[in-house]
Amino acid sequence: MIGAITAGLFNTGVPPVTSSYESIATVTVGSGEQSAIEFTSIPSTYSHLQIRGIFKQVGGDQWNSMQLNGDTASGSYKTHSLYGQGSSAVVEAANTLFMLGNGGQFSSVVIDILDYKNTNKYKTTRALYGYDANGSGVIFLQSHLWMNTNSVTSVKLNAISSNFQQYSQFALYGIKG
Amino acid sequence: MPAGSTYTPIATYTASGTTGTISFTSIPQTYTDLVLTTSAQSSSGQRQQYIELNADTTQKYSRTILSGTGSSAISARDSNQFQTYLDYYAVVEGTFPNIVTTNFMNYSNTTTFKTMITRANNASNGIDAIVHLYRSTSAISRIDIKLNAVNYSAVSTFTLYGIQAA
Repeated sequence: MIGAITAGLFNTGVPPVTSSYESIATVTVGSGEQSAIEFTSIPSTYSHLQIRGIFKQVGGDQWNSMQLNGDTASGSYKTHSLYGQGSSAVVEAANTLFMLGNGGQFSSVVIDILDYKNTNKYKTTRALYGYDANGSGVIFLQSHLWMNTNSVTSVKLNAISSNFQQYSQFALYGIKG
Repeated sequence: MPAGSTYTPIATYTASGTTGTISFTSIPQTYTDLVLTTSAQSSSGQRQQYIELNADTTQKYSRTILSGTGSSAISARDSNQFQTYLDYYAVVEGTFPNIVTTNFMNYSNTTTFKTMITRANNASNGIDAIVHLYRSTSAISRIDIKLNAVNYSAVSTFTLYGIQAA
């Protein structure tokens, strides 16, 4: 999601004016681990949001969940996944927003929350994430649906069974348009 | 309060038609993530495109792949490689541009190995999502992008962006 980010080309001597992609907040996990990462009071001044990060957990594959606006109600979410495990491609559907992490290597993730403040429709997000451990690993393409027309004001990533480890980091960005 | 402008072009190259290697060197260590975008065509035939980091050609690279071929979805894996390929089915070719975006998260971190994720797209061949691992704790200061055996055509472009988190 690069968009129209420059008013001048950096190789022509004109300084670029990059004003449409802004960093909102960053959470970095210290030595004490964290069971959740949360972005709150998200400004309503952007068109889209993007979360970028790396994360690692203890043990093997670990499932995590994502909640918008603290909504934990059953039936609020849908997820469709297409993922590769190295030997086969798998498709899956679920009624929660989830994300897979691993204890061996850091996973990288990019989550796009498009049109997050539009109060006339449900919210669709997309995610690309995965880890590789030199002989194992998984790569995910996911789409998520939050069946709520409220503007997104908070995003919470919950480590369900194993905390996010030190050096895990998630950054929230706002994209204007 | 937001930190302000954060998505900054670091450098861009347009291929000359006489080389199969594009190098981004002396990458500033002041960003959080890097994003590499390529729009490439080959001078001849279908070729795979790969990267070497920090001029490291030892067997520190591996990847897990998800691909759509137009008739099926598949997954594959490479381990202990001397480089890491940015495509699997969505290869570079001479007629249609191959579009690739690779995210290098926390590239300047000197404590962790480097995990990168790629989307590769070529409408005539396929679409790939790839996660790569570079088993080095060194900060990434150089990225060489290479095309197997032939040159990039002169319509090929490559841009490296830096993203700065708050």
